[in-house]
Amino acid sequence: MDLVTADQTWLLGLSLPAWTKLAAVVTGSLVGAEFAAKRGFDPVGVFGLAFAQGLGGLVLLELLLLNGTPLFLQEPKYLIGSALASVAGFFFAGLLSRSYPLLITLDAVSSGFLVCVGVEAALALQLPLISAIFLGTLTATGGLVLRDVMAGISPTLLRPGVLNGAVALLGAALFALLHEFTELPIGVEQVAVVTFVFVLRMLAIWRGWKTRTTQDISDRFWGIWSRREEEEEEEVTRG
Amino acid sequence: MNVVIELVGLVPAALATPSTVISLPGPIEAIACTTGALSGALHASRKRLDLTGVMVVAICTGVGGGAIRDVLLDSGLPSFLVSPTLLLYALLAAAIGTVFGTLVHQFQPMMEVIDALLIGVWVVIGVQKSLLDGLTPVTALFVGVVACIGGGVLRDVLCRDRPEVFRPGTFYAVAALAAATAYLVLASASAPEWACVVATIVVAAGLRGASTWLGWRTTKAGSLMPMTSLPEQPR
Repeated sequence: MDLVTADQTWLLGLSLPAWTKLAAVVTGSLVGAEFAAKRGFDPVGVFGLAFAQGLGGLVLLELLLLNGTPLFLQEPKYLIGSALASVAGFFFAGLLSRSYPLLITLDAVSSGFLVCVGVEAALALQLPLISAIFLGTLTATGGLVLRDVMAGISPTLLRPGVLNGAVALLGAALFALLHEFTELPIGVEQVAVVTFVFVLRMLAIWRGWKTRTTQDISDRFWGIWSRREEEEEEEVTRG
Repeated sequence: MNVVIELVGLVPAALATPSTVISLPGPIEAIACTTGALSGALHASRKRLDLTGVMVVAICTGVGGGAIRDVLLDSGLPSFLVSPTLLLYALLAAAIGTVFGTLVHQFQPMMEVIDALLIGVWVVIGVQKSLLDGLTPVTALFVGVVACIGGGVLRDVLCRDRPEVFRPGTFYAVAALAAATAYLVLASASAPEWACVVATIVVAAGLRGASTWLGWRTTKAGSLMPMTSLPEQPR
C-alpha cells in the first residue's frame, strides 16, 4: 500500500485501525493515573498526568509535524477515554496497582501501536528513514517523558532501568527498514513490529534485562595509546 | 464513545461559534499580563535562581498558558508573538519582580485577588478561540482549562517542583473547569455572549475565592480499594 497522502488529514486516514490509537491513549492514561495516585497527587494531578502520559506522544508527534489542530482536540473520544481512565485511576488506584502486570502487558502492546503511528506518519510525509525512526521512538516514549517532567521527577526513560526506550527505538528501526527494503504489505509490517516490541518488552521484564549507566572507556583507550607511545620511545632509544 | 456523549445528553455535539474572541481593554490587558509574570518572578526568586532564571521563569509564567493554547489550537501564530505589548509587559514585570521582589511581595494578597478574577478571563479566551477553531465543546473545555493552568505548570516544571495545581490544596484547575463548564452550558442554552462571559468570570472567581477563604481543598487521590504496599515498580 502506498503512503503518499501528505495532506492535512493524513494522520486520520492511516492503515492502522483507529481503535488502536484510542486503546494506546487509554492504556497510557491508566498507567499515568496509577502513577499519580500512588504518589499522592490530587484529582487535578491524576487527570493531568493521565492526559500527559496518554496523549503526550501523539501530541508531540503532531506538533513536530505541524499537523494543524491535534487529533485529540478534533475528536473528543480521545479526551473522554483519557478522562474515564483518570476517574478509574482516582477511585480504583489500589485495584490498578494490584493489576500492574496486566497494565504493563497492555502498555507493551500500545507501545508497539504508537511506534507504528509515528513511523507511518513520517513515511507518509516522505521523511528520511532516520527521521521516521526518531518520530516512532518519540511517539512511543514522549508520553512517559512528559508525565515525569510534569510530575517534577527526572524522566524514567533517561534513567537506568527496565528496557523501554531502546525497545521502541528497535521497533521503529525494524518498521522503517522493513518498509524500505521489503515489499511486504504494510499491515504485515505493522503486525510484525507490534509483535516484536511486545515480545522484546516482555522478555526484558521476564529475564530482568536492565539498561546501565554509561561506561567511560576513554581511560582504556588512553592506556592503549600511551603504551604504544612508550613502545615507540623504547624503539627509538634502542635504535 | 460518541454514543456515551449522546446518552448523557449534557454535551451538545456542536455550539454556535462566538462571533469573536473577547478583547481586553488596554489597562486590563496590561494588568493581566504583568500579574502572571510578577508572580512567576517572585516564585523564581524564592527558588534562588539567577537573573536569567528569574526572567525566563517570569516570562514563561506570564505567557506560557496562552502559548500552549495557541500551539495546540493552530489558530495562527501565538498571540504573545503577534501582540506588540504582551511580551513587553511580561518583560517589564519580570524586571520589576527581579529587582523589587520584597516590595512586590507586600502586594501578594492583591495579586491573588486579581489572579482569581483573571482565571475566568483566560478560560473565556481559551474556550472562545477553540470554538472559533471548530472544536467540540468537550475539547474546548480542555483547552480552556489548559490555557489557565499552563503557565503555572510550566513555571513549576522549570523550577523542578511538583506542579502546584497537581498538589492537594486550594481550587485552581477545579475553578477553571467549573467556569468553562458554566460558559458552555450557558452558550448551549443560547444565552447572550456577555452573560456567558460574566458568568464564567464570576464562577471562577467565586470558587477560587471560596476555596482560599473558606478553606475548601482538594484531597489526595484516595481509592475505594486500599492501596497495596507494593514497592514502586521502576518503569
